Amino acid sequence: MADFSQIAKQFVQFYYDTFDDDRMKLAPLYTEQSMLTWEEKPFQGTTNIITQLQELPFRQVKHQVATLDAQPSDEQGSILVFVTGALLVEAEQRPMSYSQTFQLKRNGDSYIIFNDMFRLVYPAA
Amino acid sequence: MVARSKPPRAAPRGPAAARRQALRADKDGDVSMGLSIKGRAGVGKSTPPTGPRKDAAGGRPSRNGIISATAQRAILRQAGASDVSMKEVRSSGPRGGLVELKVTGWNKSKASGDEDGGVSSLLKWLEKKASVRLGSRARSVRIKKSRVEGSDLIVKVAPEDVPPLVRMNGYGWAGTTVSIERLGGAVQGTPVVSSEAERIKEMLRHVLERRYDLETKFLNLSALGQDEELQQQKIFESKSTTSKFFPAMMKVLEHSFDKKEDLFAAITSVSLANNDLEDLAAVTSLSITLPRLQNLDLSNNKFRKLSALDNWRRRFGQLERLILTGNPIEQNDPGYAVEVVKWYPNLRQLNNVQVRTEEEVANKAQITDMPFPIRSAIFQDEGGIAEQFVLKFFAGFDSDRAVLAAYYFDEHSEFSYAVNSQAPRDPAATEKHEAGEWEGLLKQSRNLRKIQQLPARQARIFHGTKAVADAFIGLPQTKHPDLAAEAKKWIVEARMVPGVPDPTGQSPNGVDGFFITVHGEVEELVASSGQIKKRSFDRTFILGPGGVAGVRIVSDQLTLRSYGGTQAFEPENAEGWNAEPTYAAQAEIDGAPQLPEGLTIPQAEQMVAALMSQTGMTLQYAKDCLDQSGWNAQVAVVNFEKAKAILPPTAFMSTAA
Repeated sequence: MADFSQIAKQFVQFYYDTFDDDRMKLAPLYTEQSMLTWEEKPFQGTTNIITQLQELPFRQVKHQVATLDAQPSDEQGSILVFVTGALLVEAEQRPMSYSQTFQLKRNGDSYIIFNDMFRLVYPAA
Repeated sequence: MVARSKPPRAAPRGPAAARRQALRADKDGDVSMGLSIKGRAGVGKSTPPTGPRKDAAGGRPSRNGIISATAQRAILRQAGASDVSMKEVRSSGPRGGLVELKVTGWNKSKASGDEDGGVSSLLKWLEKKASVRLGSRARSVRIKKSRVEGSDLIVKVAPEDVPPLVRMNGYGWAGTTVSIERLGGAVQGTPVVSSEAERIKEMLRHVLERRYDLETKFLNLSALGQDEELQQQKIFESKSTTSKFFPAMMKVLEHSFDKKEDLFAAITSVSLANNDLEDLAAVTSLSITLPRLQNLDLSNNKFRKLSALDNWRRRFGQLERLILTGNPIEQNDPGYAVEVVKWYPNLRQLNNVQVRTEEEVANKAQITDMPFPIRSAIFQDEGGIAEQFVLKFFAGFDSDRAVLAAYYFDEHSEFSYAVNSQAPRDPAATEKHEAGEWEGLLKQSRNLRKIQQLPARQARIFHGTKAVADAFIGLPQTKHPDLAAEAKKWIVEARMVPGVPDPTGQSPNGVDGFFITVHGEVEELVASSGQIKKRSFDRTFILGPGGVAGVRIVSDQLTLRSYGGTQAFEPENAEGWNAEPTYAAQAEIDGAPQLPEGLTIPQAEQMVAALMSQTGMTLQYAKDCLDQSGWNAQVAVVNFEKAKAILPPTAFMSTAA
């Protein structure tokens, strides 16, 4: 089995590449049990989560990951992934800082996002 | 609401069920059910188990994840494999061949006056009773054909339906006892029960099945002492069988389901009424087996005081309705209700009286333990655990980290941190970039984008109390703003999560814990320059139960970055980003009460509890009332008396107050 740090890194790359390309395609990463906390608001289940991501008020977005850390979180191979970085939204030149934590759970030989907490920590100004 | 996991419920009535209803209306007692039924009877080993629970499995198998695309196949394989363990005794005869059973003793029933001598209601009863509704192997028994021969009712069923029907031999129906036996046939139809243990499991399964209502997802475990079947088994005649009985029954229940989620979805209400319980020792395993229960009836037992219920104090995080009437505790400790409401953050009704409105629950009114003002809409807590943790942790981090590490960390805990030196600075702040400002910190920074080598990665994750304490002590001295007085500088979010690893090994599937995220600022002493540097930080904790503190840190991850200000924490700044009408409402929550100087949280908590019992107001109203009265108890009571007449009924816990 791959090292959890490596998995976390692959995950983060995949997640944001996909997010920036087509958010709809993130659906397979979530399940009906998954929770997303986007700023103040909680969402549960793939449909609700993807709907929320789709409804964010921007079409083009680019994530720039600044830091990425991971810890193994149980014996079944779950991983806690902690990211800080910047969001570049459409024509907006100034990046917004964000912090995002993912709880990844093993699902067979792949991973799903069990918990996802997103927060902007620096405003769009 | 944020409660996790309500998998979509299965539609209990498919077209097949409707068809069955229609056929049953045909009272000639000899209905040929045609091809559609033949299909069902032919369920073979290679077919995944059918039945309603299958659809309730929390949705489709997850599709491909990120690492591999073979997950789905693996899941399907697994689903197929679980079918092999199906307990039904399978016929060695031809596929779909029907078996005849003779039912006698029914014709003198109370239903004998019916047009058909009671045959149709007997058939209906047989099908219902023999069907398995509880468990992943749920299936419906169908009587394919039936005919009356004198006092015998001959029914034809699929071979796999034989054992559950034969097991009903000797059951009481409509005032009579029916006998059911197999008519000839070479195939051995009775279940081969290999041991006493198997027999008891089967009996317990049957008790559960009999006491389960599929429609309301209700498991009625009331008055178990009067259960005829359990009495026959002399379960309650010895201490040892009495104490083993309930946990054994819970195990049987768990094993009836392939997935815990299915079990949670199948049972949302349980009654343990009328069981002479003095405490929860005998039944405590219920909270392990069904941690997500929404409705619980504990009425008419012998609970005398709160401590008798203590086992479940930190359990049932999703409990919405609880009944404790008919227990001595009502007389012995009238204040118990206030306490119990605090135990269960999602509780709406206690003893059929509303204690929280939906709005209060939705608005996170469960933050009832008078914490620091919560500026996030997401703060799930239980008994103030998360709140106390945050308060103590950051205070301890500033004062004595060795003690802090010993208090919250154990040999399984992990800590790591990363430095984000690219994060933008707050342009309004005086903090400026200084050369080498991150120097001391970068040595241990575990930013996986930059640290590529495995040994370096491994060295920068601190595992166990000692390593964490050493790492903590190596970090610069800090001062965090006061959580209560400078709440604007913090965002604290807490969420209850299942599946947190249990180092005691008692719960292989993990225990419930907290997932806490904190964003804020901190003043650090830069060792090289002796200057105080203000920075921003983001920190994530996973907490589980245990340890000296009652909670232990499973994971602690920290990111430090340049001071970015607090604008992002202001709700109004989020508008352009996430334009939501709900922000107005959230801003109100954000104006949570600030405690006056000198008033500690426990004191405030006591004041709220006292006002609640004095006035009968709900927690939220009592809290608001005190807040509007400047936290003066007398003023609060006066204000309450003035406002009493115009307060809505939802302001009160009990309409009798």
